Amino acid sequence: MKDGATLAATIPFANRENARSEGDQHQLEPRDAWMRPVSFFGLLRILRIVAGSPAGLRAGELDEIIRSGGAYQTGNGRPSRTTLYHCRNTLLRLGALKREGRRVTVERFDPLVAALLNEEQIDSLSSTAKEHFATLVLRNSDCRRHFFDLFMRGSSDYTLADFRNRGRSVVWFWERPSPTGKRAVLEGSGGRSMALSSPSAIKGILYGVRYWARDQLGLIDEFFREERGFIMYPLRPFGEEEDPSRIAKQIASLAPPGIRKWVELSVSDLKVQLCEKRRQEVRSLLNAIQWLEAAHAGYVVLVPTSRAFATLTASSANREQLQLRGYFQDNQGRYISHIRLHNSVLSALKEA
Amino acid sequence: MADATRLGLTSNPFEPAASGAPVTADLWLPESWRTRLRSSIDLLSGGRGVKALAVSGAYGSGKSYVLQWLLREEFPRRHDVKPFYFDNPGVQFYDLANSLLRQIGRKDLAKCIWELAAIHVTGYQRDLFLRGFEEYLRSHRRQTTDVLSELQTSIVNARITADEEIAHRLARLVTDSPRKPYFEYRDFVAGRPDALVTEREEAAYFGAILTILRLASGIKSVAFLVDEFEEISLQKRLTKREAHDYLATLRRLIDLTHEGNLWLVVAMTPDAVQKTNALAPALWDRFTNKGKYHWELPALSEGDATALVKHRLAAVRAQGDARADELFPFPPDLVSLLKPATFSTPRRLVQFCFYAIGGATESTPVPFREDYLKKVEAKLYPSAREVAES
Repeated sequence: MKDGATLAATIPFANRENARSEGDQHQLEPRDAWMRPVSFFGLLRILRIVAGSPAGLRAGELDEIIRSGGAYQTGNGRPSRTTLYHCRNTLLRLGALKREGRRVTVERFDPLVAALLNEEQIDSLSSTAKEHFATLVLRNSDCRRHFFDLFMRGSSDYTLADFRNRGRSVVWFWERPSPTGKRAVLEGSGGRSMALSSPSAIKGILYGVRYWARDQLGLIDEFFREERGFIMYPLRPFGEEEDPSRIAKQIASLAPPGIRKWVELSVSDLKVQLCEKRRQEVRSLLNAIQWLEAAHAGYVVLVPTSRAFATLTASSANREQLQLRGYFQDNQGRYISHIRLHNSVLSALKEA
Repeated sequence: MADATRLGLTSNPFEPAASGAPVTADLWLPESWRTRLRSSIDLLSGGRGVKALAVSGAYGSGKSYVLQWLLREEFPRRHDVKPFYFDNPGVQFYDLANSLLRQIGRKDLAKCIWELAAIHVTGYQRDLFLRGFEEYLRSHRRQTTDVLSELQTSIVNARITADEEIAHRLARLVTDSPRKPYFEYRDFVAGRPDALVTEREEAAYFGAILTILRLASGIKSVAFLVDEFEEISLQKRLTKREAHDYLATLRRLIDLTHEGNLWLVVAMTPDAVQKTNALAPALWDRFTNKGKYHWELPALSEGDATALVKHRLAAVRAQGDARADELFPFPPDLVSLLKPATFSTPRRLVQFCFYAIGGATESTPVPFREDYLKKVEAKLYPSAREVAES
């Protein structure tokens, strides 16, 4: 089509390539991208196994114990040797394990590791264990330099609390610098950016440390906006503002003043205002919408969108899933883009 | 349904699906909606440049109904605008051409081109052209290439288009009609040797079609009423190219409206509005004149909802029934008995009324009582809690 190329220039993503100079980009060496998607609950169990052998364990011995005892599960069941290598490597790189000759032992004198070992044994990773692991991850220089520093303005000396309270958003998106090339670009709000071109860099950062921070440790959350890309932002500490009625009240506070009977709010805009700006999980917002619909039935209207349009800019099944992740799905399976609130609900929420 | 006479009606005037406008009844819009639409159209009629209007609203908010009202009531009232309705047209620009030309029909369009071009034929085959299109169809034995060439020249002379390729494709549309008196999808796939559309000249091609329609019908302009613009693909996932195509189609349509003889009214969901605005803010500004011609359909007020129900009931009120202006068999305070979400959304309200009337038995007291109406409402629109409990 004649206008295809010229139209691409009107799409914000396409403009970014030229807008960014090469000078402010941060480059990543493949050897620094050792992070891989692993389960931190599994890591804690591995840590306990090693702690049970004060003299340490050889890699083969450790792998055998893990596999025979079912200490680490993957989506496919038993973990492969490569997965177990990455688990061991992660614990070593994070300083939870150390090498003594050909054996690995636990870094017992590290208070964080000691605290992790003292954690009560439950079926999932507790929020305290997540915080300890998060501190270990944030302490690692590769993770900081190539991921977490992008969230922080100025000094690279920050604690977990600093990250949660002062961290800014980072936007990532795919771009094609040449017809055959493809790279992921991460742009921090402080003007720092990073391009990931090699498969190992993409694996290590996008599917490694980003996955840890978002899905395993609750350090960040992420949602998609057409004009910006995938927005990652730091989350406040666990447990704060989780009550859906409190978030519903925040939703009501965003309704423009006026005498209209109904107010329509975009869920995508709510994500910016209540999730990105207030550091709350997207899931908390979606729970609040669900709570609103149940608590004020007949006074809240959910406005669905078409699935094709919801993922208008997604060009793969994975990206489609990632974009749909931010949508609220109602009990009929529809993807909700807007909510309409009756003014009596707004008044009730504001007075509550 | 209970005995219709007991309800004072000849039939149930509501539809169960309430999708779009009723096929036969006259179309009714709340006064405030009519005023708003008419003033937008009046304003656009008087000016130059883009004649486009975006109507947005949730599913069931009345978008399709508004487009049908424009198609069946408002544009015909204006005489000089010929409206065409497109439902879920597809992402490619030529999907619109496919839809438009199928509505007109190949024979009618070929006849229009023939008659507009015939008076400009000067050389070979003049007699053939003067005898008319029907005669041509009957006596089709001549060398097609000769007729094709003559017709192509005449199309240019008739000022339908100045582009030789477009003139050729239009001439082929006519000369191939005796062999193939219908359109098929492949005719609109640009780039194929037998395509009836030109590649990379979509806007000019459409301009020629619009010129034919204007000249042949003696009208001033054509209106495209495009419904469900967001349902641009039946596929689950669009490619990046198709996402661009969506915006490209919109942009080409807006470019066409610049000529002054095409109206474009597009119905879309709030999400489609937000995404189009986010992906191409400049295009959205041009389309809606910085939001001036974007109308978000409002929720029905209590008064509008009551008027809608009364209007539908009046159309099927039994002859001689004195309650022509009443809500019977519904109680006079119907709207106050319903949840705001039910009566403020036209589709929900119409569906509710359909099931209330359709579900009434001989023993259902009339006018309907509150408990009966609440039962119908709860069955149709259970709350999330009720769904979870069930």
